[in-house]
Amino acid sequence: MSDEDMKKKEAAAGGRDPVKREETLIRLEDIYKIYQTGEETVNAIDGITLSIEKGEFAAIVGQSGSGKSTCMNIIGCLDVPTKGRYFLGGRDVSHMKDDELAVIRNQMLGFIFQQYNLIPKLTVLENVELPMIYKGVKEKERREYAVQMLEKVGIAQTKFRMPKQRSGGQQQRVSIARALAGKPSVILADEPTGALDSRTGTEVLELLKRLNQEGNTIVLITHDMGIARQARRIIRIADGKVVEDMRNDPGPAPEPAGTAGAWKKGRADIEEGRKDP
Amino acid sequence: MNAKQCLSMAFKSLKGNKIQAFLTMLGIIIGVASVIVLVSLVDGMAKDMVSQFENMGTNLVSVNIQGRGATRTVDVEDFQELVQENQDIIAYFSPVVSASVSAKYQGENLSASVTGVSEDYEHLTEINLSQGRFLSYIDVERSQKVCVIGSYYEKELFAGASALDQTLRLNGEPYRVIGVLEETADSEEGSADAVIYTPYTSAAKLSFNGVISSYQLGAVDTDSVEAAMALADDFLYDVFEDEDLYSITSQEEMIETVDEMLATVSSVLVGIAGISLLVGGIGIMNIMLVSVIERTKEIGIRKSLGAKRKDIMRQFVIEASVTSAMGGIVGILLGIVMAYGAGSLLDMTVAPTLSAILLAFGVSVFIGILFGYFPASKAAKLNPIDALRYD
Repeated sequence: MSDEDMKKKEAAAGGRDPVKREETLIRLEDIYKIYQTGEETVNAIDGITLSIEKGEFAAIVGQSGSGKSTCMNIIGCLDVPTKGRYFLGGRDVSHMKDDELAVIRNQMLGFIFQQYNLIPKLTVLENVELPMIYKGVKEKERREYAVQMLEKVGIAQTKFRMPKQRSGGQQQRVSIARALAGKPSVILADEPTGALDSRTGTEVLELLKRLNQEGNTIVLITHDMGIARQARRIIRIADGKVVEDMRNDPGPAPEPAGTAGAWKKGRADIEEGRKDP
Repeated sequence: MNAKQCLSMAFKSLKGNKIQAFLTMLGIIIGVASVIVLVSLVDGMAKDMVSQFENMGTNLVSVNIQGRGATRTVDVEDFQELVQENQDIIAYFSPVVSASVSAKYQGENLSASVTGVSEDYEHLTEINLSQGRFLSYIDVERSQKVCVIGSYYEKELFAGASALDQTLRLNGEPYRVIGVLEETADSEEGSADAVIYTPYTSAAKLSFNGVISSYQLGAVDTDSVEAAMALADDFLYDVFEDEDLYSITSQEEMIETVDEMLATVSSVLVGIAGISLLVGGIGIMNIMLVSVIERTKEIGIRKSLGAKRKDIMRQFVIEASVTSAMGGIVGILLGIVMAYGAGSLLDMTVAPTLSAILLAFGVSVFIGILFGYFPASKAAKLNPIDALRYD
């Protein structure tokens, strides 16, 4: 498909439903990821259509090999789909080049990884500053904001320590602060509790919930249904397809007034989406 | 990401790996140090030689006669006649007799080389006296036992006291010091200050060899140098009928020859040192490649946070350049120290020039960029997913 065709299609899609295009944060349209190994072709993602609205806390859950990691890579702009289109914040990112994707990741995405993925040679503070360095934020401003983010996750006192000297739970908090530092539109958390004991894992999940209540959009990727139940929407993936997409009530956490409207809209979309296949 | 952040990141990563960083730099350190040492020594040598030649004056023509037996010779009178007849071309004339002697003053004893010359020698070469006078016509005519000494001998034999009018024994013969030369080098052994001039008539006796075979002619001006050479050539060819039996060279030719020779020597030496720089550069590339693999995960993390290819590229290139520039700086310091060490050991003048230092530094930075480029582009092209998954 040529670029011009793409543009036409995009324009047509935009014309059809301009309001939705503007408000839907993540919109996967019939996404395929096909790997070719010799004669065999493997559809790691086999036609996923999915929308996630601003302010949602969605969990993508699936067994290993279900395609959830590939899905997260595509949502995280670390990978591009073989087929289909992916709109992030209204922009088609499905055919972007390496460096364009880097800019998108820098401006719109915050990652939280299972293994924290902090850079061991840099201090806690320097790690949190990294996304802002690549954004070109000035040093003073950068430092102040990084400290603010560390305060937000409750570990500002460790800022001059090296990450390896901190406990797993604290390292994960650093990586959450780092994810927040880029002022992302979406926070992608890939098995954020996978390397933690259940108590610290719960603390991290509570932190994520709190961040969601403050208005952050969070997409949690996990194999553990128990963890997925902490989210307000559960998207179950198997064999590269969405097999279930449901609203979930995580329980005690109260819903702040500000995000309620967004949620209702999101819910309407889900129900619409579920009729699709 | 700006250059300052890259630099501080590069330093941080070097600091984290001190031994590895040092080993990486070692090749560059050795390479740069050897370039500095060689260039300093060769330049110092060239300076010494050129200044010695220049002291002798550029209108100078040297004549050396190998001769053939006793049947065909020229003596000083024949030459003097030639000079007399061609005063429009040749202004000055001096035979040159060299003799190795032992010089003795009171308890001090030295082996010295005596140069026997005529009174004209003062005009043939640059002679500046700090005390007394130079040789005169009378001294030469009467084979007076007088001498003019360089500052080295004054320092060594007279221990700083005035040598004027003292009597020096050359091979046991008493010679009165009638003049002392100004210091031109560092009053060191083998330098331009280690000279003793006596009348050639006296020096001929000291040399145990009556035959005078070297002459120096001073042309009236630079333009007459060739005419003077032609004249000497005609004269000597008439006597010997074989141009292999004598040689005539002008000062300019000698300076050129020496310059050429030194340039060849220095380019060969610097070329060899350059090979060690190249090896150092390959060492940097090797370590950087290992470092790219070691830091695959870090690269993946950085990319996931929004680092573009050029950010990663720049980080690695700057790191390689900083490594090699630091190696360069250490190498320059080491080189200067070693050059002066070697200079005092070999008794040579050392001249580490600013241009050599800047060149060495520039080359080492350039090597860092050159050999850092390949590993850096490898790092920049890593796929973020694969890099993140790497352990």
